[in-house]
Amino acid sequence: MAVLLALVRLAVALELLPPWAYGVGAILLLGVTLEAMFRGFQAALLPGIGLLLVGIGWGYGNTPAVLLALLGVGALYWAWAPRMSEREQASFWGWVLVWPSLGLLLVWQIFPSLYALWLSFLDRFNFIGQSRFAGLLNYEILLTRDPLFWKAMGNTFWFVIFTVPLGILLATVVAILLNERVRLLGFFRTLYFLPYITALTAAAAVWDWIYHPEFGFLNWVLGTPGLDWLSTPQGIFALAMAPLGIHLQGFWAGPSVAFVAIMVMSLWHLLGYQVVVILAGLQNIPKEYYEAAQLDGASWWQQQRYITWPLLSPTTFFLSTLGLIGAFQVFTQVLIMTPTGGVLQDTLTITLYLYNKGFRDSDFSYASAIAVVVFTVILVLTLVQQRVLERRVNYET
Amino acid sequence: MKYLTIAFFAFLSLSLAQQRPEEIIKGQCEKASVVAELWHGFTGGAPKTALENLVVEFNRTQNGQVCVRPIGQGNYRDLSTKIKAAFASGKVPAMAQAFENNMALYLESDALTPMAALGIDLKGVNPLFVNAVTFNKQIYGVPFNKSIQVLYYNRDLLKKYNAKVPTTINAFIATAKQISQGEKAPVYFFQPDTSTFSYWFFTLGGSYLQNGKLVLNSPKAVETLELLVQGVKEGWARPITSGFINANFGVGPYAFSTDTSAGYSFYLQAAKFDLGVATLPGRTDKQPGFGLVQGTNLVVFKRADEKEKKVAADFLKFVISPKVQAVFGVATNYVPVNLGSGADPVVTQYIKQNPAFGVAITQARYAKFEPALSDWEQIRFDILGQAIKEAVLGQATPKAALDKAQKAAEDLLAGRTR
Amino acid sequence: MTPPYALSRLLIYLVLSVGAIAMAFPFYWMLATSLKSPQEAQQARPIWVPERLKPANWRVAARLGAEGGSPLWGGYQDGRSVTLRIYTGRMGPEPQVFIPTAVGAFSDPRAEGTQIRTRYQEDHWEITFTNVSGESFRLLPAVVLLSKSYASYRPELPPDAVRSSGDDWRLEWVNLAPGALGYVFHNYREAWLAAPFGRYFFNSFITAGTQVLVGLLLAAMTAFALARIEFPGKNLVWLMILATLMIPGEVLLIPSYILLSRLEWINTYYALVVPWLASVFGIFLLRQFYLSLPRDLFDAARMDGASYWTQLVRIALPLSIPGLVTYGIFTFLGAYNALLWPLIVTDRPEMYTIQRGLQVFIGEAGSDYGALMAASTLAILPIVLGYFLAQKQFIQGVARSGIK
Repeated sequence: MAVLLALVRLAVALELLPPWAYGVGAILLLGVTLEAMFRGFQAALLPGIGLLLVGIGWGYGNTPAVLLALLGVGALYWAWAPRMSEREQASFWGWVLVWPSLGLLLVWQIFPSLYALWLSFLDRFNFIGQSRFAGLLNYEILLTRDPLFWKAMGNTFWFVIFTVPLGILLATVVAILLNERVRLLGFFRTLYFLPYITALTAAAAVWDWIYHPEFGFLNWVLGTPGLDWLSTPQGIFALAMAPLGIHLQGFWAGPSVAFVAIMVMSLWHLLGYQVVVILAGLQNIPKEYYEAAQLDGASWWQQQRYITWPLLSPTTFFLSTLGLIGAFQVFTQVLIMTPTGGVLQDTLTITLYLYNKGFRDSDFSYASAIAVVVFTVILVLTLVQQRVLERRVNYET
Repeated sequence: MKYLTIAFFAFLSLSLAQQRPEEIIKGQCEKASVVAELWHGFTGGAPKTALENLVVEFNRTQNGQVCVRPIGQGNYRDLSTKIKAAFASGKVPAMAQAFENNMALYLESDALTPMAALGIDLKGVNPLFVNAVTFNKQIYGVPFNKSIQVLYYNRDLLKKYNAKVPTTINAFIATAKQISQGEKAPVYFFQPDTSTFSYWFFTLGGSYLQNGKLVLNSPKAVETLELLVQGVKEGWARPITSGFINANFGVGPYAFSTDTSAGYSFYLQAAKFDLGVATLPGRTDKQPGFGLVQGTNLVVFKRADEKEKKVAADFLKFVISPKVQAVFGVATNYVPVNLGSGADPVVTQYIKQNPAFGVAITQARYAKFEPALSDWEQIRFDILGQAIKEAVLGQATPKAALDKAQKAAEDLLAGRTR
Repeated sequence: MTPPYALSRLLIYLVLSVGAIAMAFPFYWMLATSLKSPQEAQQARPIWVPERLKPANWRVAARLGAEGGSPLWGGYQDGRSVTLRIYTGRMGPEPQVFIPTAVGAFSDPRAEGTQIRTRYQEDHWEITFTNVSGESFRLLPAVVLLSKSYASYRPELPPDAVRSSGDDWRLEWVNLAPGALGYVFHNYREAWLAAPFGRYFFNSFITAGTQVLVGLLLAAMTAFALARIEFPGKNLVWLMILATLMIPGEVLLIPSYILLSRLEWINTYYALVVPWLASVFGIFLLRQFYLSLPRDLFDAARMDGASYWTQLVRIALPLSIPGLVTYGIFTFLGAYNALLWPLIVTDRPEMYTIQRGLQVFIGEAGSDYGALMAASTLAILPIVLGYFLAQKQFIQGVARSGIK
């Protein structure tokens, strides 16, 4: 009920409802709650009352009322507690402890999401003019007539395909090596880990400089002066196949050279985290397994293959889920290294596209529709991944 | 006129003072009964300082009763987002910087106050600039910080080949070819984007609007794009796809580029050669080519408080006066929007040391604008810009690329796509 | 120690080192560039050791700095003279010397209040700048136009930029009286003075700190209730929190901004902190932790009459310190490194966080990569220092996020 009230308050704040609606709503709810509380002596509703009163006080900008409400609930509880049953105590404390977080999540996450969902049904909402209800039009355009959206989805696909397995593989190799009782473990670990704690803004600025066609370090190392990594839109598969006389087009041309450059930077940034997590996973594997394997004459390679890899699967599963979700959120590095999304929109990611639609073309409806589609895709993919991979993951109990 | 002269000298003394103008404005607005906010997109450097100095000076003439407060909202893109959100939250500023396509968007919901209603007379302001802010015969803003395309060239290289600075397109192409052959590398640097395309397109006599309808694939447009593609094929034009041209001087011998006058100081900083600036080559040598104008205007929002609007009106009158434009232009290298500023001693003195500034002022008389459509930014980047890049990079023929762009633009404008 | 064993050890170290160099290189590049002049930064052949790191130059810088102010930090004080020598070997055309005026300034007391004298001595030109302006300045920028007819020339202090200008070479110095430290750390000093970085750091620490402390308490409370208390509606709450986990952050930007501006919270610490106080990640992590603690522990406490609050504070919180550290590190990193949110909710420099300030600075610095890298280094420094101070907690905290 307090949830309802919070929504009413927000609606008033956004001028969707007149101000008196809040007062009326609050009084109605308060009455209902009081009635229910005294009839059933439901202690669980006590924090609700407190919150309602706090809400009313806050809603009308009355600080003493807020404090009074809090004190009142405290006093009520104190007076009431000795007569409360165990169950009532539990429900009282359960709600008291949950409310602050829940309230914040409601106001700052769930309500804005619902608002965004509502926006996605409008026609070109930009806050300035009037926009009419358009139903599923935005979704129809997005899914059937928008090549850039599919381009961005394709790029996200390549990002997952390239960075997730490669990142986990590299991190596993490094972690296994670090786990071989090397000296200077702390030193190596620090070097691998530093990129992860570096702000992406600063990191992307440095990499931009390394990829620079004229002054860039990379071109000097490779002896390819003038090669402009970040504005080479040709797909890498197309480039690789061209000498063989095979001309690949569109999606099959693969991610562009520029996008691969961004993937490399992203790999660099995340690798440290993956190494640390996998290292922890390795250290959780009992030493006895290896000792037993050594007694059986298993080679180093066999040990990794038949002990480390399967026992590490919960960790790799966790990292791949994280990588999958992360791929849909790639933004900062693309914005700083290729602000326009690449020469031929070849580094466009889904988040950058959403940002462009909302903040450049001021079509918040369409941007919201993209967000909703991304939300759905992530949800489905995570569920599928859990279904498919969970069976193979070897949980050690 | 008198107070302007005083204002100017106060302005001078101000730039000497060590106190930051931001602080001074804070003090000025503390006791003012009416504060008109001006939201801008200058992130720093000379433009921001010059704007603040200008505001300080204006506030000083108001005897502390009213004041203007400039508020930086990040870059232009941040600014336009903030303004939209301001509409949502109901607290709009009195004034803001706006591009012509932003203005078209605001006007779709009738959010701007016409200048006539504020009693602002734009006599003396460059009529080409005023034309760009005129919608349905009403003027809805004052041109503020404007830059225009000019021809940049490498004096050292031209001298080496005994070449004159070309004044016609044909001479330009011939010179570029001659030097390119000598240097064995293309020497005309250009960004394959809508700006560069617009210069060639306008100068060859093209127009984006035909009978009020947007046409991107007119025969002139195809001809223009073919010329650029030809230039790349024949080896006298080099497309620059990453960053500004001045950041790419090292990739090969540079002789020419057609770029915005706002880039002058960056060109100067990056050039290790002797940098020259001239008006754009024209179709004939009778007059220069048409340069694309970019930069913002100042607009006043209808929803703003009446008292604030009054302050805004006074401020805008102050801003477009020849003296203030002269000082602002010299400080920022933007083209003074008032034609009278050219004769001001501040400007004439400055031009003696910086001839490039004089070139931009001359070029501003041969100016053109892109269409003021609310969807133009998207068309310019995602549709026309992409078509130009595709053609120049050899992924499609000019005709096919522009036909595709035309279809995409029509779909967008008809609401079939987003 | 058998040879194959030694060989495999060698291989391990080799692979690890190559990887480590690749990982660390961008940091080296950032540091090196932060000590370079703009023209040095823009070289096709990388300059491994910038001029500003060469001891021979420090000596000259210290001498020039001492002439103008102090040997360490330099300066251009009233009444002092600074003398620069340019070795040309012969007396050709006299070099032209001037002090460049600041962009957009109409008059410059430093340029106008300086007497410049040039004379030829033995094998060099001697250029003397004398400050008669009555004021003191921090920097002494200078430009010398030297005829291209000189076959070779060597200024004592290497110029920060050399360009062609007609028949002359244009030699530019950003500061001719730097002092030893002022010379090496020029980019850092200018970056620090160009923007109120101190204020940015303060804002970042305040917001990140509050988020961690309050966020920890809220997350611990919620997680404890969800893990250890049976109350009606618990499943519903848990479901809602799970659903929140799936919301992509970008969806929230616009609605949240509107809400904040209605509350008049734009440009306040509230806007930077409050929306992020409740963390689903924290609730998840800590709930996992509390579930793993033995049930009997709490039941026993309950029997002894301890209230739920006492259980939380006395038992759950102390036992979950590792989880709290993990949460704290991630929240602090997230808040400190965030860019998009501060970009949207702050537009007054006094409310900028360090990342927002850095982003503005990147815009202003343009192609001055030295200053840009100096500012970037400053921005990541606190986190890197924090890492070195609490390395163990850092690594363990981060590692814990991946253990189910």
